[in-house]
Amino acid sequence: MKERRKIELSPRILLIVLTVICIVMIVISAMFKRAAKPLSFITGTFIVPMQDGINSVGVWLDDYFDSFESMKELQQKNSTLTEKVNELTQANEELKANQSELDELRALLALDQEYSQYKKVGARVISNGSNNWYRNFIINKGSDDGIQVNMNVIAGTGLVGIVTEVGRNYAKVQSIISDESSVSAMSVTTSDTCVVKGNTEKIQESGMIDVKYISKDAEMNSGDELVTSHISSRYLQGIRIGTVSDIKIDSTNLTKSAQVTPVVDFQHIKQVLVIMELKEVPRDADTVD
Amino acid sequence: MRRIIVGGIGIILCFVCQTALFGMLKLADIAPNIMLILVASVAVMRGQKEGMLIGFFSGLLLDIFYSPYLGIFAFVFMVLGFIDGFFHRIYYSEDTFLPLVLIAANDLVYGFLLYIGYGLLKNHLHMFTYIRRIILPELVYTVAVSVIFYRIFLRVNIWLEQYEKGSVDFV
Repeated sequence: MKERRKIELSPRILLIVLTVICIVMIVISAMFKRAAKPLSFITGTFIVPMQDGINSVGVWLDDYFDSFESMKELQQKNSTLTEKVNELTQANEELKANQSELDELRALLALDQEYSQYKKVGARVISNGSNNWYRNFIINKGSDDGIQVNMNVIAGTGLVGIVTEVGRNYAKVQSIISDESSVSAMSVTTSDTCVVKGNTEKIQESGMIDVKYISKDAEMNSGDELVTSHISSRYLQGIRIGTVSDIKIDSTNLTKSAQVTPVVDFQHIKQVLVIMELKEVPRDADTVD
Repeated sequence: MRRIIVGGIGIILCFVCQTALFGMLKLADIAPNIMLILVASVAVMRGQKEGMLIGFFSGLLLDIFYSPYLGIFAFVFMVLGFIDGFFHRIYYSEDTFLPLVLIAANDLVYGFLLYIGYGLLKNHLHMFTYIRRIILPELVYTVAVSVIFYRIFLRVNIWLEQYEKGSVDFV
């Protein structure tokens, strides 16, 4: 009995045991994606409220110090006006996008959709990821507020990302700048489609991310606005992404690639809007994103 | 028993600090690595076993929340705790230099491991950018913050040791 205890207490044995546990967990979670679900429910109930609390204290402090500089009234007015401007810019963008396609679409489908009519829900970013490497974040609204996986997330006038995981009171958002993200996009003026691919390295160096698979014959120009495209399976059409630049032909001579500067300032996202609508596509639809 | 409870509370508080509090106090888009400070401090103050256990569970918490696969951060933090635990032998409680050096070294190792995971495997080969933009700023910020956090952990440890005087506790 005494000897067994000695074996149990040796740090090396503990190292081996914990390593084996780690490997088993990695294998299980890689094989069964749902295996970690109950665990994240527990953390969701215990830790998200804490993060939320700290965050609201922070927001309160922010507001408090802000009010020293300017009158509260002005601040409120300013925020509503900014909202209005954002809304109008978005609407304008959509109108521009619609204008170039309007005749064509009317003739074909009599499509009559108003993109600014989407129902949106405001949410606060409560955690910016666990480290400085990972560009996805957590918001304080979850399935209780009707959030579902694959809902689009915007901030101001631009696309931020998409909901990838939903808990009861939180949701994880994959931002469009993260390496895993790819968004089917198109140019507002020429309707050329392309794919906006996240790139965590480039966003740090130059504040831009990649645009790929532009057709060789596309007439897209530097300075064009990119919006989410009509052929995307997960992103609603017409949400602004950014301004395209640096278009050049690929070495394969089949496609062109470019860079896009996102309209959203990803370093300072505090509030986001979740669009409470999912794009409806056939289940086996084959699209780039 | 008291040590387990205090350890658990410590892990959760550090986690919340790191993800929420310092998420707002970012300097140059960088947040310090509080979990690493906790693991290194405990390992050097209390030895390998506790360092490994604290490392394992704090890494697990990070995994549950942020990682696609459970166990990766748990493994990294546990190994860091194991290695830091070797220095427990030459540590005495008035020594503030050794823990800070260890925390800095840990953060460097952690930075390079994460570069492999988030940079190299994603085909981002400009290592110098990552060193300049993430690894070094994080190192500096973490060491600066650890001056405060290490003192807190030391206080808690002294309080726990006083409480346990005369009694035997294996965890």
